[in-house]
Amino acid sequence: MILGIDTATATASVAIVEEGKLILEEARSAPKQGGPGARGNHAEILLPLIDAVLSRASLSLSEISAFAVSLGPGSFTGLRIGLSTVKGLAYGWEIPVVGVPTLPAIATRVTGWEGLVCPFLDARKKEVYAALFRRRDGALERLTEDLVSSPDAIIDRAAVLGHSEPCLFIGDGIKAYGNLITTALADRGFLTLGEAYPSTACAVAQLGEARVRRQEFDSVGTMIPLYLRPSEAELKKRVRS
Amino acid sequence: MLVLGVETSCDDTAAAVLLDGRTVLANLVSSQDGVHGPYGGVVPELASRQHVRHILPILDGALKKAAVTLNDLDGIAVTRGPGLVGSLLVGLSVVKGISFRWKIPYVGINHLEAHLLAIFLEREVVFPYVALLASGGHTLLYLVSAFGDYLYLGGTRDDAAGEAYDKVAKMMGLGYPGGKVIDQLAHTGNPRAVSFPRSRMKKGSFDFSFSGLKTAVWHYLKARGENRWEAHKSDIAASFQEAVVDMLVAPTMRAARELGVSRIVLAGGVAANSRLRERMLEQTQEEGMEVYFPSPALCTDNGAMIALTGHRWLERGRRDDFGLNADADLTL
Repeated sequence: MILGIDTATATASVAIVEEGKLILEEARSAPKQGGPGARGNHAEILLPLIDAVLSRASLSLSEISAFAVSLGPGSFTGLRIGLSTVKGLAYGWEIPVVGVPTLPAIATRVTGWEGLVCPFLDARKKEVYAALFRRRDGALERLTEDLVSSPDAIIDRAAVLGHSEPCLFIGDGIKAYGNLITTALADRGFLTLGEAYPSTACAVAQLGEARVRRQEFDSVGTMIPLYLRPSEAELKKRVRS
Repeated sequence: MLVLGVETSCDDTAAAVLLDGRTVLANLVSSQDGVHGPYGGVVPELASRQHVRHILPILDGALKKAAVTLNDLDGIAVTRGPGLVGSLLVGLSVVKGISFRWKIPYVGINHLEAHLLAIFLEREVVFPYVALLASGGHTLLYLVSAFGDYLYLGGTRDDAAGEAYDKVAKMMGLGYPGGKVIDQLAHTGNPRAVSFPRSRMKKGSFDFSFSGLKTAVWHYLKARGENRWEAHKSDIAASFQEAVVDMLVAPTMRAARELGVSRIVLAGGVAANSRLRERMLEQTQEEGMEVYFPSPALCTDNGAMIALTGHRWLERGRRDDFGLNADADLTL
């Protein structure tokens, strides 16, 4: 029984998976506005959501056999809330924890599509977090590593890699850059799904379960998110030096 | 009662174990000075990243040092504000996770309240007292009449006292954090060598202001050029420090006098400053008052003061739920 958690984007999700099968999954959006001094974030909703999923499944946390957590890329704050919560939940007992990269997890959610798949998350600063995959006969092949880059560069990459294949873009990057896709790929098959795949936790749990089976555990104490991008201060320092 | 205290409001990851609100069994801090040093100040995103890395090892280390297990804990206290929201969220999320898994009650703590009470880890102080909280993030004056009864008297209008230290240290190329280096350098300098201005507030105000002083130091350095001030930098450090201390001591003493309170408590990182301690001792002795300051490790951010404040809240029956968020601007 694997508990999967994803807080990489504005929608948090929690899922319970066993033997690859989804037992239960729930998603909730972070409140737009938090209390005074706190922007709305997953801190308010994540544990109540975990609590709700467990009680709906009539499970207690101690019956879970491993945690799988979405590592990123995504919102820095969201990722830290998810990973820190898992660190707390896993502390003090011998439960395995595995970190799962977010972009492959999003791509894994896709069914009934043949062609390229591109998780496409808004990274602010006029960039997206993205990676390209090919889905053929139900199997997913990774074509690029996780990238942080201008949306144009990603769309170009999809155009070159895909030849005549259609490309499915998924994620909140579409809200900001959907028009770029429409323009660049107008003569090709493409599809955009903004937040129509809101929940990633199920795939996180499934991919996590596969790693648990291979005994590929992470060390919960020292685990960190996959930020993909250095902090602003580090970037500026690099430019100067 | 055994309480674990966790503090991640700024750039230090800290955890402590406190027995019966009094005995500190462990008090660990992982400083990030090396990370922020090259930037001359705390970089929030880097601080958050460091906390994620350090939180469990520090927390685990504190429990091991105290030779207790999670099962022994009666409660957990964690800072929920004010501070850097990204940093706060790491400690808060971890503590909520532990509390949820092990059904240990937890409370979110106001960082300022914890500083005002930190002295009780070492001394009993009779209420009421005037408390000066001066650190890299805050310069605040309170009348503390009882646990839970804090009257705001004044605060800084611009930079915090510790921030002024950091900025002046950066101007002088002395490194980070500025408080320690300037304090050290000032020992060999003449505090009357340069007469830097002291900002004066209007009558009746207990506010502070340090940006004028900071600018004055900048102009002083610029007018002379590095090769001319380098030789007497200890005098400049001592003179700057004297001005900061003057501006901290005056409103604090005046508040005590006007409110008819004879006890003063210092708190926060700047309370570890040797000259501030010396001057407060002289002044209070002269006027028949008493001054209390925690040892340096309890002045700066630490988990023990969070555990202490948590202890007091927990024994009054307070419990927080899992929907609690961090609050960067939490007031007292």
